[in-house]
Amino acid sequence: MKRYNPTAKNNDNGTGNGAVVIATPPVITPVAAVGAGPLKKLSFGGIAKKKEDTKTAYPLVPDPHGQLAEMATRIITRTAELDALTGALETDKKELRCLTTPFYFENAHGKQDVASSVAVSSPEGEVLVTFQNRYKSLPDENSVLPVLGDNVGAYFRQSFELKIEGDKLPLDSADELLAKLQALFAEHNATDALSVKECVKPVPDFHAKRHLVLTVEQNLALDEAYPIVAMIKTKGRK
Amino acid sequence: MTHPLTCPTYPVRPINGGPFDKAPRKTGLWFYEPKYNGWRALVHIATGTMFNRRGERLSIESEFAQALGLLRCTLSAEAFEWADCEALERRHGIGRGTLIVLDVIPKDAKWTYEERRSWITPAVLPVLYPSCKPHDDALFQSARFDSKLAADYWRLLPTYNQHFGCPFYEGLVAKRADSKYPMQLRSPAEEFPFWVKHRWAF
Repeated sequence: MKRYNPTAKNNDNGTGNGAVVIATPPVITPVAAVGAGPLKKLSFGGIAKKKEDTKTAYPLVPDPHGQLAEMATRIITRTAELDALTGALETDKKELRCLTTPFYFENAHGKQDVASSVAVSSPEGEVLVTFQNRYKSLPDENSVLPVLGDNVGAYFRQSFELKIEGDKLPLDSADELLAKLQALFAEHNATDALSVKECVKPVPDFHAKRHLVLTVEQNLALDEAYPIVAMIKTKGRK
Repeated sequence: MTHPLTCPTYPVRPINGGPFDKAPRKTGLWFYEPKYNGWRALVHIATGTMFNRRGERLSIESEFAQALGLLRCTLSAEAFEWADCEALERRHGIGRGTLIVLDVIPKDAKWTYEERRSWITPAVLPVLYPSCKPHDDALFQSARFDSKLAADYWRLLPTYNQHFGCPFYEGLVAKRADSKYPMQLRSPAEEFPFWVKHRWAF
């Protein structure tokens, strides 16, 4: 069956936009339409249907002068304003982070001691974009493989969590220890009691190594797949 | 040995932008879509397999069989691979078994929101216009409008909810035109600041 593929060159059906309609478009039922079933019904158009109130009713605090209601109104209004402002601020911060990241990697490239922040100056004062030596864990290495390829082992290591701290096991005997642990649980028919949480973490010197060894382009590509934890700071920078 | 199908990313989670009428003006080019009251689902187009927003297989796949069939014969699995959808089911009586395509996720993550949406023309997938109530087991793409119309829809959508007799719309979602689909499996809770939701109830 022929399907719509925007990258294929032979899609055009004369519309000029490359669109091929295969599926029959579903019929849209207009809002005002009334069902033509066996039972004749009146249409109440725009009148809202009464709904069962599902909200729990709590005892109401007496408020004879309306003082509490005023405060409640203020809280609701300001919470809405705060949410709106917080959202807008988050978007601005994310954009600033995106736009300053190439400079950060260019500036840090090949350096042993890397500045933790880059500064953006404005008439209102200075804003710092801080790229900390802080990274989250990854569920697996698949997202960073296209950038690091066979070298992935030099930058990332497996981490896991049983009820014991996997990171603190000696690397050379970890396999044997875990095999014994599993055998021990199996011997007691308790395999189900053992669960493991696996992830992939950067090696301890990842932050320094990436700036020294990887190119700016590799670091930018890596940042897309595995973003460095960045913060925007304004305090004390006026 | 075949590996079980897993989704390549969690669906984009917009940040909370508060009520639209209180939000500061956005910089850059943004588009707006209605925020539907449904279940977020990532659909693997080739197989029709559905995943929820936590990347888990959806157990109610069979209830979308008809819409999935339409999706599979409409969009090329080779080009798009995955569709980010809103699945309508159970929360209200409107459009049961219907899928609304919000976005497509091609293999190459370099495409912007504006480019991705421009591929799914109304000729390919019918647009669910906000005043229209979707019928059951159908397939649509989400309506999309520019920032000039956003304020009008912010006021209008609640009146459509009144007509429909249920909270079918929850508000608006603003999407930045030049934003790429953030492919990430770090956390389903990770929010994306270039998609902003504005809800009436917050």
